[in-house]
Amino acid sequence: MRTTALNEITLMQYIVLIHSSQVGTGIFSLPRKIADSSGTDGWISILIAWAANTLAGCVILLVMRKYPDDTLPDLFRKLFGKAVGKLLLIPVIAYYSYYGFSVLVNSMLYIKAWFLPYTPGYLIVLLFAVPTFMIVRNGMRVLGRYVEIVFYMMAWMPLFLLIPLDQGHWIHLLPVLKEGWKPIVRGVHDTLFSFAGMETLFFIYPFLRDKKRAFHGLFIASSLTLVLYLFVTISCFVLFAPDEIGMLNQPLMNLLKTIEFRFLERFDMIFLALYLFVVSRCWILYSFSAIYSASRLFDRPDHTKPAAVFLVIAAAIVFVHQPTWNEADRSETVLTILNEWYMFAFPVVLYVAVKGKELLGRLRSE
Amino acid sequence: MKRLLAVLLAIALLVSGCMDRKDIEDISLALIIGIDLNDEDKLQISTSSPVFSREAKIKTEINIVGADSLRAARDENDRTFTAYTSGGKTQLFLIGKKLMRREGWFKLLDPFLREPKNTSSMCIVLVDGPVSEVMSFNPRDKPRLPIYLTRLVDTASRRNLCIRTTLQELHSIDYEKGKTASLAELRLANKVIIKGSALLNEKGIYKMSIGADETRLLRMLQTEKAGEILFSFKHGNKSGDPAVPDNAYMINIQKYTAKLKTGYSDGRFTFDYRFKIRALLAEKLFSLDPLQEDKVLQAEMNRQLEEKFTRLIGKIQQAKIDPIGLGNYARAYRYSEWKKVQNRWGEALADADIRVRVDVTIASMGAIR
Amino acid sequence: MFPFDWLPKIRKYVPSAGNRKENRSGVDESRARPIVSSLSGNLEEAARRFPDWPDFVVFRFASVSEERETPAALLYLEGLSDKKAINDNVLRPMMTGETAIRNGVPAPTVGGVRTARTWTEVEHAVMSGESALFVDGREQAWIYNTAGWPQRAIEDPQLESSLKGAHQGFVETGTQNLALLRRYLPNMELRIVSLTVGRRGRTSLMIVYLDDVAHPEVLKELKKRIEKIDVDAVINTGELAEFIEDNPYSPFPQLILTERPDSAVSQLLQGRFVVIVDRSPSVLVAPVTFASFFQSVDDYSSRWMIASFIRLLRFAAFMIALLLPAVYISFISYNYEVIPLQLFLSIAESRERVPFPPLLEAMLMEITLEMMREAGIRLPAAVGQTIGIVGGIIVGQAAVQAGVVSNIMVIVVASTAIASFILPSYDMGTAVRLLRFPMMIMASLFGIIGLVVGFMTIVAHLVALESLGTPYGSPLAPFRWSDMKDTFIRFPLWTMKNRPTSARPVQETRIGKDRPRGDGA
Repeated sequence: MRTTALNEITLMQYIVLIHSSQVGTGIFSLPRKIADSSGTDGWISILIAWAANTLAGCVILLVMRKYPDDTLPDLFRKLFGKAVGKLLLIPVIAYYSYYGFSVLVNSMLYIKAWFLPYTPGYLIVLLFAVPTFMIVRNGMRVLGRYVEIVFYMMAWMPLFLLIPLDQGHWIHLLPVLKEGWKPIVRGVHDTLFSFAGMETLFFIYPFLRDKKRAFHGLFIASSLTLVLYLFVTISCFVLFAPDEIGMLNQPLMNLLKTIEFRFLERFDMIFLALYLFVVSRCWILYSFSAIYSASRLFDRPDHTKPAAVFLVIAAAIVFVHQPTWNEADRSETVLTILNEWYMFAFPVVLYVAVKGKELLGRLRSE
Repeated sequence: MKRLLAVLLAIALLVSGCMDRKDIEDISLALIIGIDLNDEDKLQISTSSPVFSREAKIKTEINIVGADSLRAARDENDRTFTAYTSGGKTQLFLIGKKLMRREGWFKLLDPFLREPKNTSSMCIVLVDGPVSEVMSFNPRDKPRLPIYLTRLVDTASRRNLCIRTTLQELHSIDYEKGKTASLAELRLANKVIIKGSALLNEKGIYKMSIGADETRLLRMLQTEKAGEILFSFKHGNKSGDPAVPDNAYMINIQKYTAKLKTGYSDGRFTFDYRFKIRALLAEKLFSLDPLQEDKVLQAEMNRQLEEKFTRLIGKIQQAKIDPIGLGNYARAYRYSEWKKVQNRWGEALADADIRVRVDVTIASMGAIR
Repeated sequence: MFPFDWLPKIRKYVPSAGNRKENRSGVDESRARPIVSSLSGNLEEAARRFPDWPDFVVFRFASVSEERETPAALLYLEGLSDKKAINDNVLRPMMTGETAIRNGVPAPTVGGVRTARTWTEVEHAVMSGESALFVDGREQAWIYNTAGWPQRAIEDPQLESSLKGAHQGFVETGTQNLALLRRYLPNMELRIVSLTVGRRGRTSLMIVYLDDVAHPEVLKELKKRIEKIDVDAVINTGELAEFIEDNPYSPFPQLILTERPDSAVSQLLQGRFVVIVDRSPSVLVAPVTFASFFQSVDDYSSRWMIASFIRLLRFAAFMIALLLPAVYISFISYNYEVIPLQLFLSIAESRERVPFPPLLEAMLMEITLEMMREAGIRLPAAVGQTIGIVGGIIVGQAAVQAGVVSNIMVIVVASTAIASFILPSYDMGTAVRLLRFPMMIMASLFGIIGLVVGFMTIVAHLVALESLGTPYGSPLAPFRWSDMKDTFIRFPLWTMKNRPTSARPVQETRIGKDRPRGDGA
């Protein structure tokens, strides 16, 4: 059952995994959220959010470093015993499933709005369930490979955003700090969630082969996300009027709509379709975390059954409930709060527990 | 057995997923949409759509209806057009001048910004006259009207004869407090002619038109470097035979740099432009050696250009609009003063002090002296 | 009675236990009879075992030596033996002269002598083309290797012809193929593991590898898989490949079949294993990665810039062959906004006359093309050319004129067909041809999203696939920078100092210190 040794991932895959857990569908509406709360100085709040999240990731790594080959379920078992450990897994599974499910549903809503308005939502979810199933049931090794190859395949995407940039008015960004620091601090809360993703470290770190570079990898991954978000946000601020961005639901899509080539109009559709690869990394990673914990809960090494169950339930919920954009928005606020607790408060608690156990152990041996 | 069930389920589900299909030949593209007010002051929406059938004799179908909004008009169109009307490839919006004098006309274009499948990079053009006449215009020596008009506006804007504004840009400017819109303007008089640009005020209502020369000046004031800019001048006080003007000359601007200094003094904003222009001599209808007398020519050009700029700026200030976008500079460099006047920028600009200094250098005179 | 009322019970769990007819190999008592010393007795036995076989020859002769006549008989199968060798090297020396049978011990002038004591061995030997010599008074038979069956001359392999490489292809004899390999690598490290597969066919396999380069674990895995095979006969290498593949349900080939010795040798040098199957002109190469199917021998004989260009062309062709019809269908059915206006108008005009929905039109054209392709394989060369012209040009043109298909569809289908021929590996080409159809169906149901899902599924599949334990997607997934020197572009040979890591070679650097650049740098 010790699968971590067989399922090793390289440093590059580790970096890409962390990066993909942070970048989901939020990037489309990020500029608007920032503009709403902090105006055109909001790009500074991105920097602050990045710093906060990276710090949280470091705390998680500090915890995991004591138990290098143990994923979260194993950690629970070692710290709290078998029964309590299993009991604690249940809210964890709920959290990751909810997160993965909401990313999946968000993608489904985008697809329905932009491409297939009349196709039923559950059908779209089922379509994407097929590759998700194929990857998740094969474990972290295959997931790492998939994430890496999608990263290389889609690395060219940000370059296309350079094209409309020369029509931009950089003057929109001036003056910096026009209203002071208050709006920036207000904006931090909204952008904090876009960097969320460190909690998957609980499941990624144990599989890393080269554990000495874990902190470097974390830093690089987070910075990659930072650069991407800054680039997108600043492009949107430069190209759109400051008061206009608040009216655009997905400023990034409007930005892409302006890119046109002689041989390909409406580049934004192609871009959004290919962007689904990037988003798929996010929901597959979160689903994997949930499914992995579920198979640990039932002490099975095989991920096939939990994966199938998870995907079928997801499709069923979409079939019965038919989510809307407003619901997706509301569930995002719920997730933000959950994420703050889970990513910031919980690792500190764990760290205390780990240190406590260490102290106890030392006391006992004396 | 389980596998068989899974396969059957897959097939059943997949077959049910065909609802969004719209074959290409089943689509009527609304390539040009014209909105105007008719004689009874009611909205009139005209749509021009290409016909793909080989059996049709005329390649375009046009429908002119009265309706409350664009979406309602689409329903009307679907009553006669061969296929589904669709706005995914609209190239042009033709807005009548009568309509553009009314407040809130821009809200009519809402569905094209709201629906994701619609494009928002189509050009918006003001028509000086009734739109329905332009829509029914079908010259024999030109391609289809949508393609012809689109190309016309594109090439004209590249020559800086008019300012090409897309729907997305207009939407941006609508929200911009520091800039007012400018659009291309055309007129139908046996042929379609681009008149120049139309300038709107901050509510989006039509204010004034400017010609090709002034459009070029406006572009320079906006510090837009794209496209060709040509200026013509008159030399000295000569006025010989009026049939053949022998004191005209033209330059083609190869490159120019613009420096703008924003300031605030005595309760008004000050804007100082400094243009450095590299010009190529394109036409000279009198004998003057450019090599020897270049300083004379340059000084004359500087003076005449500064006059032209001042005249245009005067017009703009009088109309209390800001097509140049100076409000953005005011906000960037004088934020606290800007905040006080941001909601009535047109008036503030009318009081402002805008100065232009031009410095032309003749880079080349061409192949002959 | 004792064993018989147990039989029904045994049959429930082991159905073939009681069925003697299926369980005959080697354990049948009656056939392993020993050889008796009397020649006539042996010959009677021979007559009983090989009754009226028209090609079975029993040559009785008397070997004269020192005035003693020893009766002997040589048994062989006419078609499988090299009659010249038998006459010159076995019979003539033994019948007269110094190499006659003395004291019952024959001494022919032929190599490869063994002795056999049971009739089973004699049967096997005779049926493999060897000849068996029975001497009166001896309880054993001598087996001489005089095998010489009909085989074809060495010619250029048909499917894998190259411009600059050697024009020798493997033939149908295992030992000849091994000899061709040895010509390239006269190296003591070239090891061979012999195995036999198939109960009736008894095909001999040889696993060839370089001992200091290849990974021993992969060898173990390969041997294990081959030894598990228990069938009647393995006729072609293709059948063997299907038995030892990691995932027979995958459309992608996981083992390379090649007919070229130079190609097989370059794979050996990378640390891979070559399995030579007797009676089949293709050899198997394992383990392989996805990128290996895009490499051809000509890449290394041509200059590196043009070789890189053609490599990139192959990858582009793969994408085109897989995606072009699907992309076309999705654009004209679901996402027409993407097509530029002029093209849109011309496509719409040409499609307006076609009564079929795009999927049906595409399927019609594709299936017609596939049928023409299959028909072309079976037709002789001269007729094949005509069919190509008639089918391709005339029928295509007529179909467009009649309004059955649109001319853009003809262009799309033709480009796809040409693109799928560019791939150097036939198996990969057929995989792409096959995968085109599900992609077209997905595109016709869901547009570009269907395409994305389909491609995602293919990527997910490739990423999880393994070939004998090595990841198939390598060097793309897991990404290895060092292997990129020979994937999309071929770097010059003097930069390739290491073997690619995809085969997990034990010896990572290639032998040799100096790879000169010609200009002495």
